[in-house]
Amino acid sequence: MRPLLESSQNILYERLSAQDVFEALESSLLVSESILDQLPVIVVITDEYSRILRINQAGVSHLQHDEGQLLGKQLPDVVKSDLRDKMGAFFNQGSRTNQVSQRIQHVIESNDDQSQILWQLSHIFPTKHKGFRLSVAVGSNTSQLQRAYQSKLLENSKIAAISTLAGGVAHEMNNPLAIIMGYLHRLQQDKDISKDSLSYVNKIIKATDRLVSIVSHLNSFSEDTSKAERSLIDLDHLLSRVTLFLDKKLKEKSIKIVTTVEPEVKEVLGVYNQFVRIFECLLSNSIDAFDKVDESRDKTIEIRICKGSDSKLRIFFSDNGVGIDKEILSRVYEPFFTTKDVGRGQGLGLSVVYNIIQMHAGDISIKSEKAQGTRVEMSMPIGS
Amino acid sequence: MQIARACSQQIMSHYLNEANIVVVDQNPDQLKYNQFMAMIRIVGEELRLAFRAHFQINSARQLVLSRFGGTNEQVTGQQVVDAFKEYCNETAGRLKYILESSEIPVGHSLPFAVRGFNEMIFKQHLQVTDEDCWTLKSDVGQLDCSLYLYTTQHSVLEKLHHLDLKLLDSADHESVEIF
Repeated sequence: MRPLLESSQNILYERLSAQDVFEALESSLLVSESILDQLPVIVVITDEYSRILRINQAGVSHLQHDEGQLLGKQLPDVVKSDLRDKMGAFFNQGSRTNQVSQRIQHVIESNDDQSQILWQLSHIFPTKHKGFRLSVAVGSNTSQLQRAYQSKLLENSKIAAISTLAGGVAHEMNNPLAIIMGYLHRLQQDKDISKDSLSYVNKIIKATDRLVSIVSHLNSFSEDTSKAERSLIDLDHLLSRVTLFLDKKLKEKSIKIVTTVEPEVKEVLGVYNQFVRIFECLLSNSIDAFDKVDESRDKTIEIRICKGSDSKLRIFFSDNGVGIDKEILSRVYEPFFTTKDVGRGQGLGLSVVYNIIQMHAGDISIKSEKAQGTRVEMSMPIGS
Repeated sequence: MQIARACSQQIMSHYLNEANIVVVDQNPDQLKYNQFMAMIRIVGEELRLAFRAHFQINSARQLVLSRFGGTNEQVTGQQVVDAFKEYCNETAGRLKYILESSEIPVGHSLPFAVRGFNEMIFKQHLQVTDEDCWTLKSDVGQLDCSLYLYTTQHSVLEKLHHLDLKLLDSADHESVEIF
């Protein structure tokens, strides 16, 4: 009996092992299938007669047929009529060639009322399987991509135009301002000036200081970062300096700052002043965002700097201040646009930040909820 | 391969509560256009068989509904695929019984399911002595089936083509349903 029991056990173990392998293989195939169906592009696999063998979900949605109805049909027959001849010609060409391991690519466009599909067709001649040939048709909807691209292009062009204008204005204003300030300081030091006149001079100097500050911001806005000198920046140290500079305002409003700089991004290559400007602007905006918040509420600004999964520098800046209205959110990068009271800001801060990020080949996005707070996310190549 | 056709027909008939099922020839070139394929191997010292069921989810759903006791809409695509794997299992079990009764000892593998067009690829790896392809047609749906046989023994081939179909009746009585 013993040998019989042992051999039965062995058979059982072998069957269980085979079951494990089968289940693993099936799971692996299931994952591949899911990936294919999740792709936002149309993928169609056909045989050498252009008959559909497999079509993913995006393809089923585009062709507006059940998958079962499409299998076995010739692809040129189910696509839009303006494509049929071109697709048919491609498949005919493939059927005439006997080459193996070759990819022949052909790009055709289809226009209809709702979408623009760019089709890439490839013949695949697998070397290991000599009994059959496959073709793969990949269709991508370019109209959505085009619209997003055009919108981004327009936004960048606007900023670029304003940037050039700002640079020109700043340059023209610098000299007259220097002359004005020079003579004002001479008047200030004049011993024969009356008390009233001195008070007027002081007020003019204060107003002119504001003008100088505006011109300085305009200069920053139009500055070409690509020509600025780059160096290794200790981000921890930079943040400490910036928060120290604004320490008085932070303490006055009882605002807590939490900063986290991950070890792998403690030092990055960049333009020091540009990074200072980014954090100065964001901190100033956040401090102002707590003006209309209940005094008893806990006020916190969080700054986190880390390395993303794409190896880019990621900066997360958030506060639990008053937040930004949805209608205003779309305009925050506009130069001179501000919701602050007169004298509190020129409306150039976020435009400058946007410009700096763009020139570092980075991205910036702002999310905000009224009464909840605001979150700014920035990313740029490390060493940009 | 009459015996394979008969086994597949008998099992499907049970699935459809003894409904009438017609067996017709099918062109093997059409098999790859099915949505899914479930398959099983039956292997012995003298032969190797590969039995496959090729189907579209939506048109084949009704064939396996009785396995779930639910309505058409409640049975998911994955459940339909699993049901056809079990169908292959049961058909293989029936074939095994008949072959062993005819002194051809065999064992069968676990059933497996993949996308239908993989039939083209899997077939490349088979050594084939004989093949058969048929469709089971009923009022509620149809199922394509295929069988590939490999053997080096001419005597085995002869035996297979002349198997006693009456064994199917005793197979029915001998089988045990496990719920």
